[in-house]
Amino acid sequence: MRAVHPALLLLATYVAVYLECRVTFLRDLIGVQIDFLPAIVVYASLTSNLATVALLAFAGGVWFDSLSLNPTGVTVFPLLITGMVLLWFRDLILRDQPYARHILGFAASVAVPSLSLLLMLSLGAEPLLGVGTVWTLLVLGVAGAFITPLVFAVFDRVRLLFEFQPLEVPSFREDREIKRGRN
Amino acid sequence: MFKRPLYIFCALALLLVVVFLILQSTWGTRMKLTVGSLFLPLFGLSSTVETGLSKAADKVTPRDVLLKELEELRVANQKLRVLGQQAQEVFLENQRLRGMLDRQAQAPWRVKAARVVGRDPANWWRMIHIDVGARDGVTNNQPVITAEGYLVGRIGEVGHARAQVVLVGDPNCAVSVLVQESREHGVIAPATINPLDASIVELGYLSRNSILKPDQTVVTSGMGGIFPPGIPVGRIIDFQNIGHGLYTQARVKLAMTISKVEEVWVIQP
Repeated sequence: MRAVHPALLLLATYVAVYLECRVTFLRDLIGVQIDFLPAIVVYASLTSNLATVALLAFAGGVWFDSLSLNPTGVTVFPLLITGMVLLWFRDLILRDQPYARHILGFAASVAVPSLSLLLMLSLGAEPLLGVGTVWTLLVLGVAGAFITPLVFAVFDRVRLLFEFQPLEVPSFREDREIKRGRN
Repeated sequence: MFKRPLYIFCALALLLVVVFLILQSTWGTRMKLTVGSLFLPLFGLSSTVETGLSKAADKVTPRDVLLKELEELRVANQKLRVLGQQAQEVFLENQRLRGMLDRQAQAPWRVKAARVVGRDPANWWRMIHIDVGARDGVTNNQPVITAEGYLVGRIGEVGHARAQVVLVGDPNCAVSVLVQESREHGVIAPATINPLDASIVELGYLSRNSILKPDQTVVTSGMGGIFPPGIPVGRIIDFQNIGHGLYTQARVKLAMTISKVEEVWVIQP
């Protein structure tokens, strides 16, 4: 059962990368392709261990780059760094609060492409950059802020289906009930 | 906070990535194609679903619509036949004249139809995936055009059943072009990123005395050895002198619209 959670996350990453390549109607509309990977990494880093985050960052990054003109492996670093930072400060983050999820989604969705671009530029690649990049990062951030709570909602629900839930013992005990009246 | 084996695991993962990045030119491409082939089942599945839906839609198309379309196609076919006969005459005349001038005849194009199955998921590249690959005789650097004959780009990396097309306007696809009316030569360079209109590119390396006008047609020049001459690329929107008036740069609106490209032709030698 412990392997189900990472496996589900990996499957979601695989499908997300494919959809980012295949479904382009939003890109045609607003000019930016929404990225689901930062949101999934945020979820993974707040709910699972380092091994899962590293595996997810590695697989997601390499899959993403294989369908892109990015140098292979360039997306792994930003995903892994984002995941590790969140994992490090996990105990300080109010992860159950919706606004925290929005902010984390926004920050991760801006940080991952920015770090990817920086890494590519330092490797000598020449991606298309300009004033439009700011718009791109802004849209990615806003989209990430909305997607991340959705990812939490969906995966929490899916987890309920596969994992044993703690047995909730009600505080009511029949033997300690106060009987009122004469009988 | 983390256990020691996990640190080692992460360090190994990072090391592997560094190795990928260092060996980019040799192993990177091969690795990319191998990993990319993991998505073939999903690409195949979506193609099957699309074909099924298309067939289902064909079955429910009303007879009136089909008859009307048939009539339109019949008229278009007749017009194209007349144009084809005229073109054949011009072709023969051209061959005769080339023979008289002792110039080498242009090789006719052999084309391979392909469907667009995806786009680059990153926002800073212009690339599409098509459903033909090495098994269909597609190789690197073959030119790709739309069904209407406009330039799309060139083949980048080729897998067994899939290939990447680097689009005009991407930093990895420079195209030598000429302005059809003034015969000025230049090179299409990528414009800065414009998410709301990806169809504008820059035409650079024009001489400072270039006679340019908006709406002039830009076609491939045939120089550079990748793109054959005469493929329409786009139209000039405006131009300006740059580099303290040393040379001219123009903005070109591409004839093809990336979002509307569904089928393409790969030109094979």
